Amino acid sequence: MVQSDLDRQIEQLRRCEIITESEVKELCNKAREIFIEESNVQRVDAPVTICGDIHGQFYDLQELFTVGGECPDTNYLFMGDFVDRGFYSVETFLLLLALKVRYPDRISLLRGNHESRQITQVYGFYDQFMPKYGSANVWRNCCEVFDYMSLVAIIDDKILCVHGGLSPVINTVDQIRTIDRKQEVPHEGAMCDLLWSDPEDISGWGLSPRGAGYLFGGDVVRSFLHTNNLDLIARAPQLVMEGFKHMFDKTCVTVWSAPNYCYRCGNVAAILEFDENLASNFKIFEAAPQEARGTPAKKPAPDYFL
Amino acid sequence: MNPGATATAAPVFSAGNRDDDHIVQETSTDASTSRESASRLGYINDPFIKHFVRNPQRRAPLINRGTYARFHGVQSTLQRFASLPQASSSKNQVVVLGSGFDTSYFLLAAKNQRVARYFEIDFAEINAKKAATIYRKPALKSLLPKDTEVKCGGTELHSARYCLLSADLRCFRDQVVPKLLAGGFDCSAPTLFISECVLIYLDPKHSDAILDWITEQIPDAAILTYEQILPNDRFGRMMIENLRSRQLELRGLIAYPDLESTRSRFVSRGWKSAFAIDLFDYHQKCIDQEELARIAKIEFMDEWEEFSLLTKHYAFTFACTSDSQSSTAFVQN
Repeated sequence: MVQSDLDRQIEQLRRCEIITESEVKELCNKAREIFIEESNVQRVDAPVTICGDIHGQFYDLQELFTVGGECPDTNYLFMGDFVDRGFYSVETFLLLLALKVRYPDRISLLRGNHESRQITQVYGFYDQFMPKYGSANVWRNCCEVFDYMSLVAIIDDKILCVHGGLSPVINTVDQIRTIDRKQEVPHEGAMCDLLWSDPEDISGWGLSPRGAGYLFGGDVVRSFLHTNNLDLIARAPQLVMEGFKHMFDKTCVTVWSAPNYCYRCGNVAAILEFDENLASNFKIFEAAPQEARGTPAKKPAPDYFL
Repeated sequence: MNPGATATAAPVFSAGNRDDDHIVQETSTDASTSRESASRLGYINDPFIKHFVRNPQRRAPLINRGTYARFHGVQSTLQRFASLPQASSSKNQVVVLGSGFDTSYFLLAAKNQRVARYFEIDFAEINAKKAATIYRKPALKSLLPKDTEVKCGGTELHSARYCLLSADLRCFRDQVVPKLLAGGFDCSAPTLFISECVLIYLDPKHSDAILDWITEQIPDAAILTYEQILPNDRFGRMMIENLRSRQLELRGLIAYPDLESTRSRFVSRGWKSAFAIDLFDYHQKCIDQEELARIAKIEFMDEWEEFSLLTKHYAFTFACTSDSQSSTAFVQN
């Protein structure tokens, strides 16, 4: 791919305009080549800014870049759930993918539980291809990319970043390295748990109401951090109205980056910056103002019970 | 001849601003579309709702699950009322205020759990569509009482046991009451009123007038309402803003903003007892574990935080004008 083509595609995607089907295919191939080389456990150096769920809220991602700095000026780590729910899942995912291909060392993309064939057919990503591309071909290409994305990242050997959380069958980071990740997210087992589990004020492990993954308590986190000589687990997938939430004496933090989630929840969003000494700083931001969002041809209002 | 035929010769269309009223009427389509989605996926069993939905849509799992809980609350209340053991139950009446495309009458009739009289009240614009659909679909028409007559230019259905009446709820005493009485409504009979996301659109002076008429006139009445609450937190403010962008105004929400005020609203207006529970608590506490396990298998529910936010902004309120229909019975199903 010629660099200038890629830069043009990035510019186009930054304006929330899609690129052609053949451009998507080439972009997906390039991205896959990069992801193949990455281990299940991606090594990331501080300074870095970590981000939680985006869920297709393209204009709020623009807001995120305004608050956190543009890529590649800022080094980013996104902890999954780029797609589904929001109106612009296709544009959001393709922009992040294009940035990854253009600046592979300045942006890391972890897989979330929504980066899955099954989930995207329920929660909207799949449905967005028909009106935009006239077929679901490109959705298949995107799903193939999902299968190659890393599962966790470790910042400066101290901070474990993962979409969901821990797994009862995983005690060490080395065990994560042995997972065969190049597949659809399974319904159970280590890979599923990393993407689906949630911290909860319990001791030990509990059943998750989500129907996949587990609930894990503060004792589980402490023991995992101790065993692996880590300080913190950062994870994403639970909506928090304030944008972030510490748990278990600040050994586990949830970062939520989709403001006014689903255009309905009224929450603020956060990103978490770590400087070169791993000192942390949350940046809070609100949803992009209505006028910045443009007017999609027929924007459905969010659902309520009426 | 059915006495209802003498009530009004001309169909009653809405008296307010036609555009605003039309938008409120559209919410019936919203509700029936959600119910059809939940039924098609197997959350609820409503074989009739599909007849009223022209453009079926698959709703998000949290909407489907919330629709399930709402349906559960209303249907179990109706069924309990329809099977009340006391002798007077042969006179039991149901009145659905703002019935839209509700299928509850057909669900009861299909189970042979008929009450003595069943009244549905909505705008003529909605009722015309509803009546036409009922007559077009044998599955619905066959459940109408044999003596059913089409009245008022196709905007009403009259029979001794089931009446679809067109009226504006803002003119309760002037429009609704005469039609009910002409349709055989018996003020001395045990009566259950149901109102799902209807009173909230009315100015409180209009909805209070309805509640006051019931306390004055019906010694043994109960009402189940299902409405929005909590307008003042961030989710609530966004809900008001989003609905306002659809020109939907929740006029009753500021006057009765939370569980306690919706409950005390009834008690302070002379009702004997009242009980309010939000939809989240109803989902957690009033639905069998086996049922929850069953619906959990239908779809991945990856939206717990949002589900809890959304459902905490809706409440069931159950109130009674007598001791015979205890309001605490609502949650004991």
